[in-house]
Amino acid sequence: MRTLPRRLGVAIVLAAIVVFLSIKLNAFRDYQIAEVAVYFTAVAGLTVLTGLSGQISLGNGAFMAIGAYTTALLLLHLSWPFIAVLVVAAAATAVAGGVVGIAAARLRGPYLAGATLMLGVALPSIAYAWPGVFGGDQGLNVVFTAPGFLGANFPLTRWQAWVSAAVALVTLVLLGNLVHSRIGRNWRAVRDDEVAAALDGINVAAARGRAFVVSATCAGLAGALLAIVTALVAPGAYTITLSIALLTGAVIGGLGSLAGALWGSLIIVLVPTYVTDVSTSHGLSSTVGANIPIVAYGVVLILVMLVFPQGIQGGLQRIVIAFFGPNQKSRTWRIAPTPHVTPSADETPASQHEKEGTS
Amino acid sequence: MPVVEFLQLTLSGISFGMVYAAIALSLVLIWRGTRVLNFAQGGMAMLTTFVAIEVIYHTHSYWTGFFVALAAGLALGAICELTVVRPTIGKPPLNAVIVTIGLLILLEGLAGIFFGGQFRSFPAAFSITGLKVGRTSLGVSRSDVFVVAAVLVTTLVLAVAFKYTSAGLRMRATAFNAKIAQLSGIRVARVLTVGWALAGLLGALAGVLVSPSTFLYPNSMDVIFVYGFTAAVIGGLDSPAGAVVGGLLLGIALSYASGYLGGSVGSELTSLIAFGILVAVLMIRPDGLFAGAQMRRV
Amino acid sequence: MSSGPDGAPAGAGHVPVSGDDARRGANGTGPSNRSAPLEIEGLVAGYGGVTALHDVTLTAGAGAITAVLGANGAGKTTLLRAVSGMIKPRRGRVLLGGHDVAGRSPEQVVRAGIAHVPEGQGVIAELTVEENLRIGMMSWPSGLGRWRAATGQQMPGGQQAAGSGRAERAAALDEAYGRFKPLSDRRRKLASTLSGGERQMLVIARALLSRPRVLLLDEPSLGLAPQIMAQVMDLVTGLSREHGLTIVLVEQNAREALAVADHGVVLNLGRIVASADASTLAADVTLRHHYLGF
Repeated sequence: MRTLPRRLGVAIVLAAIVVFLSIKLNAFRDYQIAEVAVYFTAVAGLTVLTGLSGQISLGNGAFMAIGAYTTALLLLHLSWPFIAVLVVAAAATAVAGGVVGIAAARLRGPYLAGATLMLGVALPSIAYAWPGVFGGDQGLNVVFTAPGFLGANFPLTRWQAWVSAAVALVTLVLLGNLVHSRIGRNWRAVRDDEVAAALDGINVAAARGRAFVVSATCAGLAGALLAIVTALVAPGAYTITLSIALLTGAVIGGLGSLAGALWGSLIIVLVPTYVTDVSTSHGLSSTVGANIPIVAYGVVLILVMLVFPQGIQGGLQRIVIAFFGPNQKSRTWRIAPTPHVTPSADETPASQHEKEGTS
Repeated sequence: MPVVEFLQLTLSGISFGMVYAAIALSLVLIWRGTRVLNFAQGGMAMLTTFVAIEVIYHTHSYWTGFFVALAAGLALGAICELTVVRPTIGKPPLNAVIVTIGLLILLEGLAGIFFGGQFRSFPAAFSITGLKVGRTSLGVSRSDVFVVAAVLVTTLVLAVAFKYTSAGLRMRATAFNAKIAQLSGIRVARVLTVGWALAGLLGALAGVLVSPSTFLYPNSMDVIFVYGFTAAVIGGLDSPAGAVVGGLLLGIALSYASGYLGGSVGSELTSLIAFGILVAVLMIRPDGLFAGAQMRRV
Repeated sequence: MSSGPDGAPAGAGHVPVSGDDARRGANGTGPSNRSAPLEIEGLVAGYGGVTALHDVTLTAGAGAITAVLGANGAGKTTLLRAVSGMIKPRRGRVLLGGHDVAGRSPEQVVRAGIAHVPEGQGVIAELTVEENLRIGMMSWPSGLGRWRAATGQQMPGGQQAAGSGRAERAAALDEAYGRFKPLSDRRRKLASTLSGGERQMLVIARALLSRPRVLLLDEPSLGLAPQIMAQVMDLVTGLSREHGLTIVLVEQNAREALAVADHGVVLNLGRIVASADASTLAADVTLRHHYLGF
């Protein structure tokens, strides 16, 4: 999706698919479409942060929480139109992202991972500490209705799916613009070789901070969407598990790729539900039945990573190359090389003996 | 009395801190050898602790369960490395992270299936009643002392083994420069498996030591893992000494926080305080407190 | 290293009966068994999508010094890496004493008797000199391997049935310290405190401790002052003359390399373009200008 027209084309096609599916399928599927859209918005931001600018974040769930709580509070106390709420939520999260980005500018690899992990764990606890404002354990209810002009019989779930998908697709187009712009190129330069990038005149700290702002904003939008889709904002939904799920989705789908963000979101949403369906239909006992999806999800993560080291998008790319040859056409599917979360591959003891056979 | 309270909080903090240190050490061990962040460390510890409780239940012997847990930790660490982590070597670094996350989820699910999801109590090694000097309560029990001693002894034994045995030399050589190690005939694959096995042992130790306080259930080690990871980051991921210092620092600080801030606010905010400490340390030393002490050269 | 009257470094190679010979004598095998030719046949190797070596065939004569020369990027280092197992060759054979070690892992190749001293920093700076040396002995048989050796069973590949217990290790260390005095003076110091020349000495000493039959040296003189470089070259010569070690010497500095070598091979873009006696190569002015830069 290199050019803007192509991106818009993809967005329009996806929008059409969403509208079609939301009409054809039942309410639960609408809910899943909305879920996928929510996750896509967040994962897309994260995959840009980690895949393009090389900064790992285990705390984007916290940004989602900021977006969600801002939305809930605004809707609760001020009854603004949703679009305005969305803008404010995005802005609030962007500011938070900027603050984190400044702090994160000096951190690398596992240290950044540790700091963002702790952020993801700590931030939601604010909701518990000030239950008067944030509703504590129970959280805040969110009231969101479909607009009048759609008619009284328009299913709310379908409207939620449409709104979420719309935000997700706008994010897709805008991120695509960024990724292929000079800002995106600067990110890649910083990821690949900070020193060289600095010598090239790129302000490394600013570029890295910018990436955090972008990814946080995406997460904030996703949080706002999640608030209206689930009609509830409670700390239990924004734990570290969420942050980890986002990272998982980004890597599984194919790091640095917007298409990868879509695959990853689909996996996050669909696999657990599918496996739960399978296990309940087999009538397994509740303890076992509740845990089989968990086991299966873990196995899926491991297997996908082992079979598709470049993520699903990378795997697809290999298939495309196999069919079309390594030419221009397949190049458009190429995903970005993975970031140096750890010291470069040549330096790690791990890769230094990648050619060792059995010992 | 304020002094007694301070002492109690400090000693209790040291006790928890040593548990964080054990997890931190296991993470450092794996990080130095393979440059992998093992997110499954807590899950592995949880599983071996479940094994321990079953053994204790059937043999009515705490110590049998204790040592079986340690042995299970060795085995589980080695198995995880051989099956799941080995294929990620040489691939993009985040792959190993996702694989260990998958492993964590898998282990928690398996624990739920085989051991059930309800909270189980885990016995302590020694009495948990507070020790007294004269009539003053020290605020720490024999059990707490055992926790500190067990981690310290294990750490020292490992440190001595690393420095003075040829197996330890093999591991250090592989961690510093695997290329040279390999060219000299060191079977680096085997070394890595041993590293993971030892990390598994440390995790198992942490699990049995802390579970009396936290109860045992599939997610019981998640928080301990997070704090252990934080401790490792504070100390510097390449530094075993840093892991211990980081663990103690965190344990004591969190103990003061929940003790002095009191009430629900204090306990809710422990994670925020941990975050604050972490950020404070990293802003001053982005690679941890003991960074550069063990710098790898290319 | 101080120089003796004939220019050879004092203390290098002037040990009347080396510990190695004594051990081999006790086991009934003589020093001549040590020398073995290294035969490389049709080796093809590369990195990722790029092939760096195209069908390379050469023989490093037993007990001789074979220089591998060529410009940067000609494939010299790739050749050594493919032989020692650091990279897996795509095709071809690497024969040592009749056994093909191509494609084996570095740990197995060093046990077969080929020691590789890679270019650049070969010491582990965070370890002491003695620890670095001890690492060199980690390819010795231990456990089951040692029992096999003691009962006289044939070792696959090259490692001769010499002892590998603690006494032998101590003796080997002493011999290394005897040969390399500066290392002896600094045995407990970190390797990072050594000078460039001393590090090169340490690296070669470590490689020798693995009791190899073939030594692959990748640019041993890189980054060293000319004086030290000369000492290193003398050391290399001594290893070949006195101990019958088969040496493959990769060097950018072709003139120096040809001065010590018996045979020379020139690589260009991954192919062999010349293979002859060192003196013949040194005399071929056109060749020198074209490929060797002097």
